[in-house]
Amino acid sequence: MNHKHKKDIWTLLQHADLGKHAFLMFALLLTYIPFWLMIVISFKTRAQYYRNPIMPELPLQLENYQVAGQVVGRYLVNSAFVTSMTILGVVVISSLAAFVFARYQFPGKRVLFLLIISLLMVPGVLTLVPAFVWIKNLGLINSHWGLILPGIAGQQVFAIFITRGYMASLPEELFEAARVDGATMFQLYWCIALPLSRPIVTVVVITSLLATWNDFVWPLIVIGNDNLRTIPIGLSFFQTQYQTAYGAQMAGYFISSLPLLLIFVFTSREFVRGLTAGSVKF
Amino acid sequence: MTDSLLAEQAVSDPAARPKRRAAIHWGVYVFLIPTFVLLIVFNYYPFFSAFYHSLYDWDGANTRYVGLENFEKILTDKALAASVPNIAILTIFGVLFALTLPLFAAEAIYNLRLERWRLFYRFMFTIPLVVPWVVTVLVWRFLYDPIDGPINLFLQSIGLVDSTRVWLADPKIAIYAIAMIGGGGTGVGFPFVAGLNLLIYLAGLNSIPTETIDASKLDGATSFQRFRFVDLPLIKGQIRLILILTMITQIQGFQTIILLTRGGPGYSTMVPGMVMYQNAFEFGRMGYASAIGVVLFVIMLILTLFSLNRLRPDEAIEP
Repeated sequence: MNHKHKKDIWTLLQHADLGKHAFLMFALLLTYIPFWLMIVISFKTRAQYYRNPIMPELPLQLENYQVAGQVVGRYLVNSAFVTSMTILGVVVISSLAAFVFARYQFPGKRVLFLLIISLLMVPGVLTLVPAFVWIKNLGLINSHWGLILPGIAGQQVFAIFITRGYMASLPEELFEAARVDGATMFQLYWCIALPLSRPIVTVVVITSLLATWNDFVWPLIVIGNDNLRTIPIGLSFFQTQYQTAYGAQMAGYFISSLPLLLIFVFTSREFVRGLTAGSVKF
Repeated sequence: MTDSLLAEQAVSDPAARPKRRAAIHWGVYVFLIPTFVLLIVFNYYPFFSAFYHSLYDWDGANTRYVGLENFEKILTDKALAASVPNIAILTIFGVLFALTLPLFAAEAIYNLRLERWRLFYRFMFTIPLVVPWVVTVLVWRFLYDPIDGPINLFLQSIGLVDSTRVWLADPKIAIYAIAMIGGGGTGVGFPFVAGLNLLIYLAGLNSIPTETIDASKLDGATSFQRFRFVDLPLIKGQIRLILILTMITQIQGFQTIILLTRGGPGYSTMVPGMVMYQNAFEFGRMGYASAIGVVLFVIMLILTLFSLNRLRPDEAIEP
């Protein structure tokens, strides 16, 4: 009797997934402690922080955000410019190449495609130093174009790879019908291939957005002028300037996190697909 | 991959239009011009330049041929020698964390009954990925702060004053402090559940056909048996991908190190990428730095090919 009762409770627990929830909630708790502290401390003075480092407390110190915003605002504008130009370039250039590789036969196709995708095996650590000297000789140091152009060049490789696969799966009849109607090659690309590839273009946009927004080492060596710094570089210097102004520091970190967080909240499904593109059939 | 495609299109292409096809060819190359101009200028040139200049004494402007001298110097470089055990520690911890906790979490999420909860956890565990990693690392730097950092304040408040440490400045523990927040590269952070690895495991699990799962249930498999004999073999590809990605990230990563310790104190948190970075951008030894880059590239190439050797090339990444 007692035994049977016990078993009932056990199945009930299993059905409610309680063990899994306990594990996942605990992992969530640990994951979010740093971010929780970042937000809480961003509203505190130093004195308030020493009194109670963990929980929010009135009055909220909104001037932390004023201080941080003055510094971080410019970095945000720079990052927004560099990121949007890079995304635009990657989408246009990679989709053009992907379209050609997906829909046409031509001499040298195999070799050219291999020349592109073999670059997937080349790590940034190999080309970092020579690329820097080269960019310097080209006069692109201390210029946003020194970030944008190499960014497009590097990111287009993976983008061509995944877009080509998608465009190859589009039905040939669509293209055939348009050809019969006298469509030019550019029209086939612009009016059929590109619009129909929207899902994969979204993936490319998201991958490019994350890569550019977060890039650190390359902008660190290319951009020396404080007015031109992007978010990651700006923050690392901001941190050394405001040594113990923890509230302002944390406010700056939080402000810098907001743009991508907002984009993510509205497009989380596409985001997850973009992040895992390529991992399923591996 | 290309072969089957060529065959398919050869069939669907009416061969009786040689003139039009000849006209198309030129357009094809025009479409490829931007791609190749950028690749040649920004990818191929630096690639060959790295190999070329690894044989030179190079300060960025003047070159002097030195043969294999740079590579000989690598063998006796104290900073590099110190970085080998560090990179081993970071890689071992990185692989250990990547292959356990996110996998268990993915399995737990995958087996939740309600779709609503599955989406909730996936959403919550993805958010840390879109917080700029520099922010995460800088927050951790503050958490580790010996005087004002929350970790030491917390230890003091519960009476464990003896357990407080100068986490990032104690040569004995600094490298472990870095390993605990994900190592030298970008990405994962304590407790290693959130992030890309979880999403990759989940994507793998979600691609298992429902029939397979149902069949195992009909056969009376316990959840552990199903995990061990159905799920694990079917997400082998994802596990291998994560293994390769983690190794590559740890071997070449030094972004976190720049922000936290710059290799110090002494060489206690030095990693190869940091040695390269310092030689190039602090000491102006571009040739030597290029040689270090070449060695790292070769090591990573061997590791990748070794891990991929059982994958057919045409099964490579595809959306």
